[in-house]
Amino acid sequence: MERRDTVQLGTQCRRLLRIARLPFSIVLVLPAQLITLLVVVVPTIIVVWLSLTDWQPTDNIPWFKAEFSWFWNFYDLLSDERFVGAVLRTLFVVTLCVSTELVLAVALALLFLDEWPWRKVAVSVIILPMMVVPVDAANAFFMLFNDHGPINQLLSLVLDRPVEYAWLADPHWALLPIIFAEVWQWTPLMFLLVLTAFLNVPRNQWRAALGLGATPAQAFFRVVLPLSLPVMLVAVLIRAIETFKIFDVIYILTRGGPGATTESISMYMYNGAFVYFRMGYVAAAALLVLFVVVSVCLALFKPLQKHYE
Amino acid sequence: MSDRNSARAPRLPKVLHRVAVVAAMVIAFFPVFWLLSTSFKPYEEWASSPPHWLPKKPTLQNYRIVFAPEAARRFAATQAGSLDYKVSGSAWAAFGTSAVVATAATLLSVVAGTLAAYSISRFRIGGDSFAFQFLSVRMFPPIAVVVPMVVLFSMLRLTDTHLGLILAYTAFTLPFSIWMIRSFIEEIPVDLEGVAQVHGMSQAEAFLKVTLPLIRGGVLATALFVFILNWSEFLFALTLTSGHVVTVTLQVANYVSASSGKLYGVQAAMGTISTIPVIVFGFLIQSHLVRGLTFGAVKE
Amino acid sequence: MRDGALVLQNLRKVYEDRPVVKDFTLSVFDREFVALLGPSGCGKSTILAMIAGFEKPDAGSVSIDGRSVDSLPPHRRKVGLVMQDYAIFSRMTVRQNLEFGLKMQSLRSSERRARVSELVERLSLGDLLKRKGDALNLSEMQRVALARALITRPSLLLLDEPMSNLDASVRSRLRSELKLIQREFDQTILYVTHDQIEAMSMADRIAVMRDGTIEQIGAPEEVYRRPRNRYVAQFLGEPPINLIDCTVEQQFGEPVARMPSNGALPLPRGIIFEGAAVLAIRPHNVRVAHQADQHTETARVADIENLGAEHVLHLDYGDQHLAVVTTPGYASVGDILHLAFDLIHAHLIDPASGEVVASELRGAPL
Repeated sequence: MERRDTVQLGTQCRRLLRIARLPFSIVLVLPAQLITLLVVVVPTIIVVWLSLTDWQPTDNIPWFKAEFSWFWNFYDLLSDERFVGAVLRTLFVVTLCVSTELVLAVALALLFLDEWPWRKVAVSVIILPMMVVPVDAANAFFMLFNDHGPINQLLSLVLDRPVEYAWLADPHWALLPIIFAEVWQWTPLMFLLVLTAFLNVPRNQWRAALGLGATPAQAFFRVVLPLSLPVMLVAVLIRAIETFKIFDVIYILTRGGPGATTESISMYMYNGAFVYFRMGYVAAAALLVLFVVVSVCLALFKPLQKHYE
Repeated sequence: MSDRNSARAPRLPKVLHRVAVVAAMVIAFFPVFWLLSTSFKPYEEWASSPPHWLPKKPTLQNYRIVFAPEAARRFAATQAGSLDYKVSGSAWAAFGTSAVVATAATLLSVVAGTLAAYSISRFRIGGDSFAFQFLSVRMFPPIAVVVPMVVLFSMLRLTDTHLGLILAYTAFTLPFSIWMIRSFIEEIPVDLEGVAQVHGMSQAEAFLKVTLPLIRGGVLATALFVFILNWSEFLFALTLTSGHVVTVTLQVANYVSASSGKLYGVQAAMGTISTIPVIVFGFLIQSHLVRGLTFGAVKE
Repeated sequence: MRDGALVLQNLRKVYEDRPVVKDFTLSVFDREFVALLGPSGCGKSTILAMIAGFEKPDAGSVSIDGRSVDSLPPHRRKVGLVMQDYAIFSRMTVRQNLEFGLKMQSLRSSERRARVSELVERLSLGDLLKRKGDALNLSEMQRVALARALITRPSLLLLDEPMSNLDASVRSRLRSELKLIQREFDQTILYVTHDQIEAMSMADRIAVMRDGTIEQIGAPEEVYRRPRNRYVAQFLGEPPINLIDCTVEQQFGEPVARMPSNGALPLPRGIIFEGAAVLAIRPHNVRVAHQADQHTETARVADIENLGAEHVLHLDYGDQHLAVVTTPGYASVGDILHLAFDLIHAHLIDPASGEVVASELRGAPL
């Protein structure tokens, strides 16, 4: 654009701004804020409204005309076994997944501290899982855990007897493929973070520790690990938040079944809203979850802020 | 051998180390390999027992089915008669839809995000609450917003439209865009724009002509990252549409739902082609991935 | 001859086809303070790394206290380390830093506390004990690093340019401190530096290094007064030694040096060298006068450097440069001065080899 045109454009913009009496800074954030408003803020208002009703789209009345049942939804939810089960199950899955990912990530990172000829290739392959579309990863694991799939085949070899276990149909074990899929997909991310943390430990502190008589293992636990803790903590937090929302994997693998034995919070709410059509009820559940999430966020914000700054 | 690149931990003997790395690589690659392999298996080998690791009679049949509805119909009629095959539409349509939606949402997200990031960075709009705001949006389970969004969208007649999905995707990737681009902007000293303004440029010009070109690479990486997120998205595609607008992820899920997951070969084919763009882009922006996935907390 | 506390034999280290350390042999005796003096990149830090065990030599061996340590990993060599960046454990308190090495030696906590108090006293660390490693300033870190290394009573203490990060004013005090500590603790020290003042003031012996080998090793006096070659002569001494191109002529068995102003300086009889040569003489050993009775060498003052208690006059001598030290205000720019060389402190250098071919060139001053 020629300088003259740009200047003209600028002058016109400035005229507009003066009319609207908006400072430039606000104008810049307008597009983002508008979209967020439409897609996040307004729905939130709707959720609050809905949570106070027991609206079901199958009632054939518009949602804003639904009868109020005030706080009954919340009361029912807290004694709803399925909801509470979903919450507990989700927390369980989050804890198990994140801790497994962390341990595996540390183990992997230890392998990648040194240099060797094909290290770059190895890294590229190791991080492949996190670049696969989650739905496709779930699909892959669906096939792996098939009755006649390779997992069962390997187990047969190991246990020396035919194994044709229907993992995904077993109320006790269906969570396993889900956890496997999640851990497989996201350990590489933890691995990258932990590796970065390790490599950022000043080499001389490591050498100083060795010089003072620490064995490599002692130096690792006493010097490297403590220095890496902040980054590892951020990684754990981030993964916990993301795992909490787990949906795609469960939808593809079990839909929450058999029964409701693999329902996460997200799956529960999906089933509640789109299978049982109890949108008011689910709205209330959403609010409850939101409340917990925001409180946790607030509680953790201070230490996180310290790290970001 | 010197440890120039240096260890910060006990080391394994060389052979053990290499074996461990290879084992990890195998585990990382195996599910992808299985998907790939199954996509080339003919119907008889889909659920064979014991499972065939490599197809004994590789075929492109599954890919044909996925791309061409007539092949699908023929297939349903002849071989998979027992399977209730109800999935319509071809992979082309799904690809097209995903491409359109993901691209548009990415553009919108990056543009709006850049503007907002600039404002936040240079004018300190929103002050320090920005980080909190950002974090809480990420902590939202999307499902909590989906229910009212379905309601809202049906009122606005946005359900099952490309626009609806685009808006939804944009809103949810905005935090990433803003966060990532903000970190790039912060790396450029304000003084550069000051110098430009002294030379007669307005602040907008200074941003467009001085700062923006400098963060080009970062913006590109952010765009690719957001694209990956949009392409891989599933929940909104599932709930905010009702059959007309189908993304690749939804198409995969459709095959699974339609057959209780038994259309292995076809699912695998669809899965493979839906994940290839993401893998390619992912490798292109490897180093920026970490920055994005940790909201800029860790810079590689 | 005492048993070496540290013996390095023919050490060699190659990085990417470039030998960084070549055939390096050195012995440091028990309780000795040896300085390894050389410019950046001459391989001194690599040598420390090989002694500590972080790098493996491509050839040669390292022995500490009479035993070869070549097969020992770093954590089993009893070597104390103070690195250039001090490497204090940033998230631990100073006390934890100090006790680290002792914990690794499995000392009981009462014993550890006793040793910490000992060093706290000696290095005035009292206020710092509770502070975190990353809350210290540079000179505090240096003291802590030193204490942390000393507290384990290592056979050998290695220091890698520990003062290069500190202000000049702090350095002179630290130099005497370190020397005192060494005496008190009977510590064997190998001190790596590029600063010749540090080496001269603290070391029992100085090893002057260039490009991976030792050029000369000896007591400070010796390397200063009797350098073996041009490099060593130039490295030590502030202001640097003067190097004057001249020609040695043999006149009826009497060697003379033909100087830039065409004067002839008589040289001791034993010198059989002939031809182009370099006369090396320190600025402190050239006397100047405004007048002279006999015909002498002269030079014109081109520049004056004011060092406070003395002035360094930079003279144009023929077409060469000569530096001379005088009392302040003795001369002004443009003055022509007569020169008198204290040849007893001068050396004759063969320009081709760089070797000093003759020293203590007694002769009557012109």
